[in-house]
Amino acid sequence: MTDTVTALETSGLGKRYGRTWGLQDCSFLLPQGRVAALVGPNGSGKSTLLRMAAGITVPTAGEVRVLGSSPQDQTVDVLTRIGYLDQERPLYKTLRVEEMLRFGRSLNPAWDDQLARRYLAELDISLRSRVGKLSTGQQAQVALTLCLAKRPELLLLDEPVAALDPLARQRLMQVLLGSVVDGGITVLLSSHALSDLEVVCDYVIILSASHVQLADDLDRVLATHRLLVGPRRDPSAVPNGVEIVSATHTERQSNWLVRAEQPVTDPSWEVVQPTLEEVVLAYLRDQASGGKVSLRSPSAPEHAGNHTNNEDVGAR
Amino acid sequence: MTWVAWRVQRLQFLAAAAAVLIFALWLLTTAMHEHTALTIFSQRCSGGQPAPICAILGHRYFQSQRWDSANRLILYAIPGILGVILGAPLVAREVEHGTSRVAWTQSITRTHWLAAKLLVAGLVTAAVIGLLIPLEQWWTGTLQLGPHINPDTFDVSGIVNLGYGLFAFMLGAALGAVFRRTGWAIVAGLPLFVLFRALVRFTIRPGLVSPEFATASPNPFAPSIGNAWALNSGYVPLGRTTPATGQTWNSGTNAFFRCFSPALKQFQGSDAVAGAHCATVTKLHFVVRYQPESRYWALQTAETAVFLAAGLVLLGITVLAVRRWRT
Repeated sequence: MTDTVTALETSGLGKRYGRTWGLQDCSFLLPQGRVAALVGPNGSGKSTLLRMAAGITVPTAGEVRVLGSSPQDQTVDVLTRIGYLDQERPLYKTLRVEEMLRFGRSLNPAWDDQLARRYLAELDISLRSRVGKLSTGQQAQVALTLCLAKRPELLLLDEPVAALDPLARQRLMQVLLGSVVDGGITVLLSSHALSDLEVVCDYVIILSASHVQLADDLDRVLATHRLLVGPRRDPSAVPNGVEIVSATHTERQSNWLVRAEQPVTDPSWEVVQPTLEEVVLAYLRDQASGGKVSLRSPSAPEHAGNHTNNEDVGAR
Repeated sequence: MTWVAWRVQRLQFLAAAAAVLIFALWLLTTAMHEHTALTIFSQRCSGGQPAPICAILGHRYFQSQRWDSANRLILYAIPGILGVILGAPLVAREVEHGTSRVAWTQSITRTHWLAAKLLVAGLVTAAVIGLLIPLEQWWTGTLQLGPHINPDTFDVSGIVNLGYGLFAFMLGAALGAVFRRTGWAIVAGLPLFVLFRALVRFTIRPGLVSPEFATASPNPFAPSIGNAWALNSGYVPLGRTTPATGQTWNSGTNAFFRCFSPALKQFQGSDAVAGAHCATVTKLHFVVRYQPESRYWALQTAETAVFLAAGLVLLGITVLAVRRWRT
């Protein structure tokens, strides 16, 4: 398990739906053996990116390579090595759970039937149940089981924890961590549950407004981002060598989330280590205010980052 | 994968088979009834002085025929409806339900997936229609529904129904793969199928196997062609079996009758004499272009091949649509 092998690589990747770009100019590398979080607001292109990586959607521009080959070629080799969980959890609703397992068994050479049965038994999902009669959360679990038992090298999970109860979320995260440790697989998962991600992920990709804002090791992300809190002042007062990601102001106080390669030593600032959630929100807020920190309007409301563009273009 | 293909469409397959089975039983019942009425009528009332009961027996036989045209229509419609309905959801339904995204991310290629689905559903379509063929053959034979080569009977008997059914199936599958909507594929598929079938029936079938010609000279009137499907008939120049260049079957006939009507008066109503006279004057003779009953299987095979070939083109379209799917 070395970082020199790339599990997923995109360069200039883009997808246009009619006139709107669902994803644009997306370039990043995901080394093997990582659990990567793909975060971003609705409609930022997360599902589009995952679908292109799974070979279901054809890019309009650029290229995506999965474990060294193009998923668009739809070769058995690539298909065998990818596990993909769709956002909508499509399943054959008229089949029984055990028939769904038979489906997985007959279509995947590396299928781990024991794993599937054990996983479902732990969840008290009866193999005799019809998939369509299960609750949304249980259906999500069956879909997930199908992905895991396929024993892929790269798991592409589109919002795997959505529709899961907190306990199930925690268990899923453990399973993912276990698979990574045991089998050296790579996981790319999109989620809105930022606090869950921090526990399990060691890589983060932030998508916003159809662009990649950040793609890096979680440790590096946390090490290079700082929250500066101080009396209200002009952005020029920010120390040299730091890059403002987002700024929020109250009447007397300025909060800057900055990217700094060097430690910030200026004593006039209180320097705080941000959480992943804070970093992510800062990038999303930045994008929502037009990609620039708004300096001219100090009276701007603190939550300038409310997204109005909630149309999920990527889900088409 | 064949199990998956079967399991996913199982309900449709069973429903189609059940519907056809119910109709088959109905056809069998009505036909047996008609056959009995016909047998009794022919035994009691053939030749000699008809017994008084023959009026009743004849009426009974006539009554028993009342389902014939409806049954014929249903037999005519079955391959198209069955094929389109089983073909349309093959790809389209998976896309509508999103299950294509599951199927296409398992460890088999889309082509493999499609091949298995087409094979299973195509075999079911062929089997259901194929089981109907002996019944059709018995039905048309027992009830003496005219020569089998005649389009009325040709269309509802024999292996050509397999051709119709598989073509309709591929049409449904191709339209479903292109539109990605089962409903649209059915709505567009049925009229397209009828159109193609009419095209073959009226433009391709008559010349598919080279026809026979029967001439009637010196007798200028219709020759006997027995059990046959008459394609064209009329007066054409002596020594020819088809109208002269620039002429039609009708124009020769018109020319002949321009002579024949006055001649009939001249020869005091003797058809034969007037006819012979006009044949000499106009140098025309009566010709029938036809397919004899003995060509039935040759024509059935040839037309089946036409529909299967068209189905292969649709197969290509389906494969391309699935392989180059852009969403």
